[in-house]
Amino acid sequence: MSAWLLTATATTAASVSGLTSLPLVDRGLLTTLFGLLGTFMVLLLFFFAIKLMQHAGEKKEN
Amino acid sequence: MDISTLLKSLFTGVVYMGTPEGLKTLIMFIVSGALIYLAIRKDYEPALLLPIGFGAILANLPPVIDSITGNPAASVLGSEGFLTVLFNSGIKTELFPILIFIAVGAMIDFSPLMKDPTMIFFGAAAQFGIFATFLVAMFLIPVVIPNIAAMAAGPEKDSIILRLASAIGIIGAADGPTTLYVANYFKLTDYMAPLSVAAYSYMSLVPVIQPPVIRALTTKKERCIHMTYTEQRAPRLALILFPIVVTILAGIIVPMSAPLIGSLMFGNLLRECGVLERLSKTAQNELANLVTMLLGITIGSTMVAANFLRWDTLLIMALGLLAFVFDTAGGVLFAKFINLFRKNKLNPMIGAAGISAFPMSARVIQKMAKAEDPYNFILMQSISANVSGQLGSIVAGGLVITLIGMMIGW
Repeated sequence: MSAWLLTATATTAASVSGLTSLPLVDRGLLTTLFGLLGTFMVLLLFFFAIKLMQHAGEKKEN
Repeated sequence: MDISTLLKSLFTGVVYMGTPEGLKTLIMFIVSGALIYLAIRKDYEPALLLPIGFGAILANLPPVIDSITGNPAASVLGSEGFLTVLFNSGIKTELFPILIFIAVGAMIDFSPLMKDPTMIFFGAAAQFGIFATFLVAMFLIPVVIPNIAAMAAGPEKDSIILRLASAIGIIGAADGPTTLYVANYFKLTDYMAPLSVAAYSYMSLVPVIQPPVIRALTTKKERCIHMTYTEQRAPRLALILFPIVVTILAGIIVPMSAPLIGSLMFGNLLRECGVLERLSKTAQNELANLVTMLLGITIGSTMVAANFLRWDTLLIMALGLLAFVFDTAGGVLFAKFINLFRKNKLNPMIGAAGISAFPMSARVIQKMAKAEDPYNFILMQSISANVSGQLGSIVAGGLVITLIGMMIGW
């Protein structure tokens, strides 16, 4: 969810202020920031999904 | 027709070898020979390096000139050459990376990760190198690559810098298919040869590149840390649900990662469903072998002297190596950071396995752990980090495509 929010925020920022007109360095830094955070957020989501699946699997086996 | 013209027509290849292009061809033969040597003599991922090396030899053979029209005729390259057909149908369409991921998915056992899901964060930490190298590349590309340096400042120049820098960064994930996928998406046809060669050769050189970086960042005491592991498979239902849930989540959140993560998870579902044993075995063996062979020879075919013996090749190879080092360092340092808060310390070497080179990286880490202490077994934890690296690199690749697309207005 957080990763989606990050992407949505970036999309909104693009449409509002026009990311394409930012200086190259700023665009690079933004890509780095959102890229790293986004990767962590998506994997965090996978983490919670695994926890849920583990729980469901163990419940079924018991 | 006099006899010398006749001989020249008959032996165009011999004449070609005497020209400046012929000298470049010889250099490429030496490079190809080095790859084949590493494959056979040093056993560095021979399944990849040998076809790449041989493909490069084929691609650099003198062109065949049609004696009637005087134009280059179909040889191994050329519009109808078999390597061009393979490139157009397997790389340009992204078919080979997708098929490779089905095979890899069928080989991966996510059970160790399901039992200790905290390992998944190493798959994110080890992507640090992608973005660090992306930033470094952004500054170096306009200085080092002559045709980009010569471009007038403007959106076109910014676009090529950002696209190329992102594809170079992805090399650090040690994920050849994702590198090809990103390079293809950004239409970096001119740079496909060095990008793919760097990605696949560094994947093969994991045993050479990672150990010195790990040793530099860890103490002997840290490398000797033991970690407990219980031999028990994750619940079957969880293993079946995992590929389905991950595909849906990734497809919704990072749609650009869907082709790669979808194929990886499809392969994994074949493995875990328990009713398609034959298909699973086919994906793991016949499909993997066949596609690896074709992918290798096709990548080798992009190493044509004119496209390869350039300054940008050196830059891409150097930055690719830097990305790999940064990724390894990112994983190890993240593990050390986590240890600050944990009672049961992690062996920080497992952080380095958060790259995508599966299972080479996990094997290297286990080998290093055993070299320090013969009774230290951290293979399963390394495999958990390694499979997370597979997921992390695909997600990072998808995010890079989305973000760079937004930054350049694609």
